[in-house]
Amino acid sequence: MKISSIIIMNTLEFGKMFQGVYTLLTSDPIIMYSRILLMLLGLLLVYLGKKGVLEPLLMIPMGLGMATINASTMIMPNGAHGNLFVDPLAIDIDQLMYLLQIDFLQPIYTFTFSNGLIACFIFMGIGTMLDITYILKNPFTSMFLAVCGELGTFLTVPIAMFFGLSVKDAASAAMVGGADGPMVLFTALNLSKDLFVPITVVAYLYLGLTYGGYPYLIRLLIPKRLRGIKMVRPQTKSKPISSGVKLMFASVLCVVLCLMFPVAGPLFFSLFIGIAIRESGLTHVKEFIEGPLLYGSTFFLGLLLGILCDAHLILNPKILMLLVLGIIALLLSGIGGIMGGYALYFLKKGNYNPVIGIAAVSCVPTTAKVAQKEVHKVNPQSMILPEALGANISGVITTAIIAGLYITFFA
Amino acid sequence: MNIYVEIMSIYGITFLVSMFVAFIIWGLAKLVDILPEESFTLGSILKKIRQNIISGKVERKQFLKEFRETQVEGSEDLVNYHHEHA
Repeated sequence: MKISSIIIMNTLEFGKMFQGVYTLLTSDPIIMYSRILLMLLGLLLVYLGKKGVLEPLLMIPMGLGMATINASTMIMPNGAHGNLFVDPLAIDIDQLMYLLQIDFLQPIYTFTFSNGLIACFIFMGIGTMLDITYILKNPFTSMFLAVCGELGTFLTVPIAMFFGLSVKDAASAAMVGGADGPMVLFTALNLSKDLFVPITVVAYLYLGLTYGGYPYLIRLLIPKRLRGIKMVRPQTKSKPISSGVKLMFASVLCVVLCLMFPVAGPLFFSLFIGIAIRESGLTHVKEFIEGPLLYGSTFFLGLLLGILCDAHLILNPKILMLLVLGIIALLLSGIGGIMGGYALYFLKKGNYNPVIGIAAVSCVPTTAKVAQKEVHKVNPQSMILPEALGANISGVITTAIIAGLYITFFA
Repeated sequence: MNIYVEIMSIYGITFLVSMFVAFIIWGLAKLVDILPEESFTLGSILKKIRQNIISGKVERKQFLKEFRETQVEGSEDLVNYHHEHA
């Protein structure tokens, strides 16, 4: 009796002193193993980020956040397990007001993440980096390729529903095929409140892998002879496109697209305001958006995504399915883009490099760079980057259109 | 509605909207070719319009001068030409 009470006392003291270890050992075995797994996965992401295999700006905060949140589970005053970082499930106003004063990341989550503001900030940053000259030169071919490069975004929906997801969850998961992180976050926040964290984490994990995976897809589907095609461009004398025209283009297109899809208005506005600022000569604002705002938002997005990977929150049997669906979506989009490239190759009677099609998957500018790199390996004389960037930028616009359509149809 | 039909309909709508966007972009690009060389400003557009009006006036003066000269000779053909094209 005396020995057992000493053990209990020791356990209580141990639990009070090292609450992270205590909550790990006393929790449900599934939660315990998941926490250990997520801690290890988080550390692996940090390592891969440092090595440059995955995007370090996103993966280092995400990985460290993931490892930390699963290590720092503690016993809350009400006896439940929790943490002092963020509570994404808080809905009650009083509880939220309390948490805003206690959990240090709660203000960032509540005021920037849960309403999609952080996604819009990143989109503004992307806008300031886009030179729309490329799309102005070949609008029809660029937009055609972009639609082809969205094959995975569409075909994954019925596949996901076959696996048992609801239509809203399926549409959110399929958005991974658009290869645009902020867009996936925005759509998932609107359609799939329960699964938006795992869907977005899967999206960002896979987007980092496109740089490594797509070259193999290109080599598999396009023979070397076609990869090395050097396109002959018509010698037409075209005027240089002034910044005023680009500004007008951004303004008109923003208004037209917002008229058609008001639900995706924040996305369109964020993208086109970025382009407008780039072209209007507001140097200081441009530098702020493409520097501190973009990098700061990406950092906090990665951090919050990592922190939201708490085993208690994301332990869901659908995770494995989302991992499979994410890769299916990206694979199908890549195949669709290359098919579009082949279609143009035949339409232009051989004067088109089908590798450009992969750039229609709108992971700006990664896929365009991948396309140019693969072509350059076969034929250093072949330059496809202008066409690839046109398809890439069109892909961003098309993905935003699909986000608008999905939210309109399925919300 | 069957999900396949619904998804393919959305794909079709996306294609149409994308082509519409491409058409707007193409229209804007064409506008650039029509508009003045130097820059896309209201001043340059007005300047281009003024130049067109002035050159039109000069051409008209030239034509009328030629017409008067030939009318003295009483060329029926030229009178008809003037009625057709003036």
